[in-house]
Order: sequence, then C-alpha cells, then structure tokens
Amino acid sequence: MNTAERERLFALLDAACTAQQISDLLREFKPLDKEIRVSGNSEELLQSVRRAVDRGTVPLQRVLRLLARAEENGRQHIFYYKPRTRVHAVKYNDGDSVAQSLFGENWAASEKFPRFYLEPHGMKWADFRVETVDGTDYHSWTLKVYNGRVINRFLGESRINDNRFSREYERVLTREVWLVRWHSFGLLEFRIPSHDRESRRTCLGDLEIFWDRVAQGIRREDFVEWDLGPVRNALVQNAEKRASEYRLGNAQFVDSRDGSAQFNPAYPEESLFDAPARRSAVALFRECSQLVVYWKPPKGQTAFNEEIRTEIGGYKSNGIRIGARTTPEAVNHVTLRLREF
Amino acid sequence: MSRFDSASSDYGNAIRLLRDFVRKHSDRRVFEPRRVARELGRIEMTALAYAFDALASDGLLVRVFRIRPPTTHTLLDQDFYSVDEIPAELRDAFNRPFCTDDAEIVQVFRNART
Repeated sequence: MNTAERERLFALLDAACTAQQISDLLREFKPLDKEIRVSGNSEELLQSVRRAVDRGTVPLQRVLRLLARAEENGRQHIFYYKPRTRVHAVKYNDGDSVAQSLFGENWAASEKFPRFYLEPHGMKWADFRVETVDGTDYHSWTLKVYNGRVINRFLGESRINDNRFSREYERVLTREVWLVRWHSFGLLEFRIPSHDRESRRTCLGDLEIFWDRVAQGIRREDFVEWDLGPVRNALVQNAEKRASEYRLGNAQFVDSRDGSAQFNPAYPEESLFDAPARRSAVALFRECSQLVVYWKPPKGQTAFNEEIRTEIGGYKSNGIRIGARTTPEAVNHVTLRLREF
Repeated sequence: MSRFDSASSDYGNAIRLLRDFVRKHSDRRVFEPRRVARELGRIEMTALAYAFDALASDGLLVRVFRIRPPTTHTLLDQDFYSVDEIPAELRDAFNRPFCTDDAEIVQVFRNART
C-alpha cells in the first residue's frame, strides 16, 4: 500500500468508525504493544493505530477488516422485505445456495471474499458471508457490493468581473457500500447509502438497480415489502409505556380524508409528547406516515452508548433511514425492536 | 477576582443563574438563549445575553450557529462556527432538502465540555 492509499484508508476510517470501534481494535493489540494508547478522541485513537501499524504491531489487514465492517452500518436507508411464503423462507435460509446462484458452485474458492476496494470503479462484489450466533438457531448472511461513481462536486463560485462569474466543480469518485442481509427469522434488508446529493428518485432508483444486480440469487417475486405502517402506529401508541426503550421526535400523520398534519418538537432532544398540546392533537390521528424514533441503548450492553436516531417511512413505507454512522449491534437492535411492534 | 465576582449584581445574578443552569443540564449539547430564558422564568433578556457572553469568554460555552428549517422548525444538530460555513442546502428532520436562505439562523451556545 503506497502513501496515498494509506492516507485514503485513514481518511475512510475516520469517516466510518466510531471512537469505540477504533478503541476496541487497539485494546485487542495492547497486550502485544505497551505503547498503544486505547483512550482519547477519534483523531488521537487513529494516530495510535497509525503508529501501531508502523511498528508492525497491528497488521494492516486487521485495519482493513475494521473499516470493512464499520462502513456497513449507518448513513443508510434500510428497506425491509419478508419472504412471500414459508417455502421461500426456507430457501433463503440456505446462504450457500444463494451464493451458488450468484457466483457459481465453487464460489468460495473462485471469489475469494472478502474483497476490499479503496477506489472502486463501478459495482464490485465485495463479500458474501454467513454468520451464526453461538448457542442460538439464529444465523444470517450478508452480500456486499462496493459502488464507485464519478460525480461532479461543487467547490465554489468566483467573480471574474462585474458581469461574469465562474463555478468550479471537481470530478470525484464515490465509494458506496451496498448490502443485502438476510436474517434467519425471515427478514431481508436492502441497505442503500444515504448521502447529501440524494433524492427520493435517486435512492429508489438505486434500490431498483440493486434488485436487478442480485436477481440471479435473490428473486424479487419471492418477497413482499414489510409495510412499517402498523409499526409506526404502535410506536406512537406505546411511546409513554415504553419510554425506557425509545422516544419519539418529529411525526407526520394522515387523516381519514388523506390530509396530513405534521408535529415537530422545537429541539432534537425534545420528544413528541413533551408539550401537552402536541400529545392531545396526536391522539386525534390513527395513521402515522413518517416518524423519527430515538432508540435508547439497552442497559448492560456496551456495543453502543448513544441514542440511535431513525426516520421510519420516509421514501417508502418499508424503509427506515439511519443518518449517523453506527455499529452493527445498533442497527440489529433497531431491526429487532421494530419486529416487536 | 473573577469576572463573576466583579460583575454588577443584576448581571452577576444572571451569570450565576446561567452557570448553575448549564451545570444542571450538562447532558444538553446546546443552549438557545430564548429557550433558556423561558426555562429560567423571570430573567432580564439583557442580563441573560450578558451572562451568555461572560460564560463564553470564560470558556464554559462556545458560541455557534444552528439552523431552524422552514419545513419542520426543529433545530438541526449541526454546529457552524460562522455564518459563512453554512451550505446553500441542508436537510430537515425528515431528510428533505431545503434552501438555507429560507431558514432561520439561530445563535446558540454549545457546552464546551461536549
């Protein structure tokens, strides 16, 4: 890896990893190298990783693996699907068979996953992995794709004279992580990155492209969209009873004649029901079309320690958006909680 | 002698009130003067503005700008250290884009410890 690639790797780590994730990596190697610092802010921790890599204590491959996992969670839209029938659920529980449909019979030997691209051009298969959880029947598989597109990034406007000005753009290659994830309890996720330039049209267009790309192994007709409408309604109805688990932020409701009303707390740390007037007004509605939910970290776990903010039902009724970078445990926590409603 | 002790009694009271308020609400990332005035109850806005300045000068608070979108009016949680840093377009709580020319720019104070 040359210097430029190395700089790119650390910039990506900085953007993708939480301080906790970097610290966990350093803790793993601390017994081998007493000079490793395991506390500090993200910048200090990354500096510690750099030095440990230079000393040869932390292998570069291990750093790449950290990035590969960290970049899969958060700053994304997740669209949920359920298998159409029990037969389809059984079919997709066989991860190896799905991988064979996509990559051929000897996929493990021929594809040599996981692959890692710092600068992918176009769509590149990156990983297919099956994971199990000890002591449970639960298992999952994950299909990962890197997508690199050339976009024009606006840099700024400058004045030439009184009547002329120029706008400067830079051509840059994006590096997007697209995922399909199957849970053995019968749920499929399509994860599409969320970014500043997106629109409903571009995001749903990407979702269509992704379905087409994986069609050889994952057939759309085998699934139905999981409509999160009833989940949103239940989240509103149970918000006060389950205040230790989550709180509500902005919400939009539809009335019996397809009109709508939107309720917005003044501050992100305020909850929907903090103002009595909002609570009384919300009670008049039955159908919630969009909802911001802040999930609280469960007591006794350390995988994430801040609220996870999710928007439920933005671009599609089976979709959520997680705006911030987060951990796999946090995203799984949200998915599992949604299934309870 | 600190500036808390040397301030005039009205302003000194405002500074003490605000300092206690900030300590009590250490989990809060930012303090918006309008909201703090409402929560503190009877306090002169001029004295409160002076208190915010004093606590910012003492390094307890950091002055930043935040955006209130025209679409939801929910204050966004991005901090800008100057108005020039604010991009032409941002996204509201439902991830809908809006033009920041149409938004309200709010001066708030961030807890220096967060």
